Amino acid sequence: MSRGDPFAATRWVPWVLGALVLVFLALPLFVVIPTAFSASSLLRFPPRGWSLRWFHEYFASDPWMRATLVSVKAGIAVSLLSTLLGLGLAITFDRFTFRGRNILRALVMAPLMVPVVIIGVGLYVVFLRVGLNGSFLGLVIGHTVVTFPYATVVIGASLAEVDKRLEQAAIGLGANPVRAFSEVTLPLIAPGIAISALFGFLVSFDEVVIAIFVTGPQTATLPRQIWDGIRFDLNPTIAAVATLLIALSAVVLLLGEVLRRALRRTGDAAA
Amino acid sequence: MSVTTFDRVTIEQDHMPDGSKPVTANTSPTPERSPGAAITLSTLSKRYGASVAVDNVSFAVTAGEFVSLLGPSGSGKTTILMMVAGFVKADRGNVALGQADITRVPPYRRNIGMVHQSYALFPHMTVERNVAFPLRMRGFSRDAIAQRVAHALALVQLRGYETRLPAQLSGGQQQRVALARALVFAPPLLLMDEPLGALDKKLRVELQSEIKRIQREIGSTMLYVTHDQEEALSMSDRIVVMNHGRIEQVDTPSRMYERPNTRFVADFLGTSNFIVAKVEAIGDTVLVRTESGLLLKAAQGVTVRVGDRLTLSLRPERVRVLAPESSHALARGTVAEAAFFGNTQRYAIRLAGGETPLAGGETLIATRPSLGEPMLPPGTTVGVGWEGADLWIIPEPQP
Repeated sequence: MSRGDPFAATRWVPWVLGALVLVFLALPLFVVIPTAFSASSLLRFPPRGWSLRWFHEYFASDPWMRATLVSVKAGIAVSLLSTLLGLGLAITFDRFTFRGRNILRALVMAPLMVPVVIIGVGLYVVFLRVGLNGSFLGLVIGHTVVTFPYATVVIGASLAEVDKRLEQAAIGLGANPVRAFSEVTLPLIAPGIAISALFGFLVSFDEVVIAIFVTGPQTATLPRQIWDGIRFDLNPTIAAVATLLIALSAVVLLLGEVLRRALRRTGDAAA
Repeated sequence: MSVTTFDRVTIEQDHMPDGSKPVTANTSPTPERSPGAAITLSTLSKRYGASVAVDNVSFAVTAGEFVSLLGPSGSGKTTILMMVAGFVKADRGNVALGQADITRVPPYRRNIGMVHQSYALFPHMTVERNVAFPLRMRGFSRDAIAQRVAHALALVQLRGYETRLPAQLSGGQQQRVALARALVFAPPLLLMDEPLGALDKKLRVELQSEIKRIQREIGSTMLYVTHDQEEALSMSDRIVVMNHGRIEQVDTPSRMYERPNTRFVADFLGTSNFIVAKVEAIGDTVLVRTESGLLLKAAQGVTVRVGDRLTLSLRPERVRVLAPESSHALARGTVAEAAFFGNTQRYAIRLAGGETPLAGGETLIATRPSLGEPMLPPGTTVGVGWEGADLWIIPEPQP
């Protein structure tokens, strides 16, 4: 044993622990992805023989396609709605002081603290009265409830980064306040807005608890369809759908990373 | 723009140079050339809570003039600039640009160019787009924008940097972009808020003469905020010295330096030795007697009466360091500190007991140009003397 490094003997411990955690996290991928390419109609691992029939099954199935379309449309609607709400609220908190500002801020953040299943129950009860259960609008509202607090935080954070003197300078150079905001501040917080939009889409696309409460047969989302599939009709189509979703998530994450870097670059430039 | 008729308030009339346009070296018409407009501040006041930032300030700047607002931090100079720009609402008083009262005009319709201390360049726009910004806001045509931007960048010697982002420029270059952006729309008035504060000394001096040259070329009126007295002295046609939100003095740099109105001005602008004395007799010169009994001649120029208690200011460069036995010596002492500044030598001379005419302390500061003589080491016995005309009577009443 070397006298210079008393920990030499235990140096491997963090490496092994780290590797174990990684394997634990990635293990489902190693099961789900091969299963998707199985030739068998049973959900078994390791698969015997390979085929693309479950991908074909997915693309040919009416319920799966309808659920995918609902999820994409809902994702886009939630993304737009929560980003608009978040932008408005972030500007309000950033620029204005008024009575009850902190109460409003706490109220906006409340959905983050309430368990999603409670939100689901609450939405179900309220929607029962106003007749929104099973409707597309109800789904969008339900998802927006959990995404707009994030949007407010993310956009608020990028707004706080922007030097207020820039907008003042723009006004001094002849831009009216609205123009100064749209020409100077808006481009500088664009990465934050994009991240919040992306996040809204992803959360909605992935969300199952609220979807179970508020969607009906015509508005079932992709996660809900997977959930129903596991309960009523277990076959490798689910694995194929999961594989496609994993691929999509990877692409979106990559996109997010690119945006994050862009954000940091403009942050440096503003400093 | 709402133009209201404005009753011209004449303040500081005796300090104002004649109202004619200044003679400029470059008289060729350029897109940026703007006839500078006069600006008149009348009884401006602004308080923040209990503290008074600006207290009843009035002065006028004539068209094409370069006026500096000089004062320590917290003296209200930046607040005044912000009220002229329209970002701070005055509690009282008004601001007139030319003949138009602009007190209630929003900042984006004032048509005033401004260079901020932090430059405030738009980080997501190239140099070209930064400079084009005020023109785009004014709806200029593409061609006019391209032409004016090119000209403004040439004026600040930044041709070839059009496509750079501000983050890719040095501090001095960013400063030039900010300057180009402030003058590209030919504003009748340019405001600068400590524009050189963030730069090192050599670059600062370089840009000082650069800003002067550009201001002369475009002919616009300049209101310049600084806490750097050398900057104010070397650049300005006139200086407004501020302290605690009030004007201490408005004057040309040389008059301000040679004939300070208040002890604050004498102390803030350069260094002064202060002597407290009583007026003994008034004849061709004023004779004053110090507390220590010394009879001194003082410069004429302020009305005084026999028996008045006064503060007199004596600039260190007016003090002559002499041999102790010299007949011109008014007092004797020993060198307490000696410092070499390259172009000058600076001495703190402790005057011999009983002879000190100084207010608050016995040490007289003297400077002399370095003309090759060796430095006097501390402990050297010297005589000090000055001419009667070197002793300036501060007209401020004695407390």
